[in-house]
Amino acid sequence: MAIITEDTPIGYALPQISRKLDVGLNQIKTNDGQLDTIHTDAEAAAREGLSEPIAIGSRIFGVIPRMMMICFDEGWIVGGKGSVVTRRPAGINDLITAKGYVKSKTVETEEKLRIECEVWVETDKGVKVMVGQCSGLVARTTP
Amino acid sequence: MSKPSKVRMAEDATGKRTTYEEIKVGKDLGSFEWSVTKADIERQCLLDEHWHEWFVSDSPWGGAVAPPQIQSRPPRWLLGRTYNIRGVSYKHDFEYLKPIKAGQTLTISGKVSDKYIKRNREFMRWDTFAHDEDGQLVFSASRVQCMDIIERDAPREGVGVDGGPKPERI
Repeated sequence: MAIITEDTPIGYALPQISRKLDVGLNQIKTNDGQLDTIHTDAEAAAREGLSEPIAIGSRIFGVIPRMMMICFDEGWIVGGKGSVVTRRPAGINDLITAKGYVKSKTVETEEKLRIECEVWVETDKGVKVMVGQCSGLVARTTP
Repeated sequence: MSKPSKVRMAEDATGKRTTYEEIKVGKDLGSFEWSVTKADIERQCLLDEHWHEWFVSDSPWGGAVAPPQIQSRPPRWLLGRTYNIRGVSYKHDFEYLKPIKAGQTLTISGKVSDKYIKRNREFMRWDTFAHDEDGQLVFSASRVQCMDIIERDAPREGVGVDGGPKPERI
């Protein structure tokens, strides 16, 4: 059951979602084993100018859709929209948390309202590694 | 541990790196078919620790559907078929228009839509579209890749380990 409705006030804080990253999540398997990438291997990272391997962007992003799904359910799977920017890398073992709040509401159709949210992902050190906006659809019952 | 390189990589295990000059804005990146399996969906759930009954059994759309963020991988596969760009993901715009169902075959296509220089680094944007068997748009994504973490006035002469093209699997 989606927790966001047309009556949810602007400024409402979205439920936070945390997870612990792990290098195992970064492994890309091939038919011959697995690849050494900037997300798993110190040498591969160093050659690209990094001081250590970094988390895969889509794993960092992954906590945002979990948060949005709780907020919108069906209105996220069909009608979900977003724009996110990676501001800095996250470490491969960081604890990350998705946070956000309701920013605005716009009429999408006669039956649907789009609820726009500011969202971000921060590490347990308080560093914002990804920021942006995401939105989902909710039923519109009032004209 | 090795020190971070001061030069950009000219090649890697997957071949010669694509240079900024070689990126053609407007270039058609072609298309391929992606058959979404139950195993793909479960893998995505596992990777993101994102479980929901709609992803494994039944859903309001009839049968299991994928966590919509499963669409983050095919754009990278598409790009890797034409260009060898490692770098790092910078920006990601997306829209989910229809659920992605297990057993569905999607046609993934796209084109290069922009390239620019910012803070002495090179960026390129490409747009990706996924259509279902009926020609309906299922999702769209527009992504920007920072082509190198190392600034653009560093020579491109090193040999990297990691490359842009990746196995086309979740």
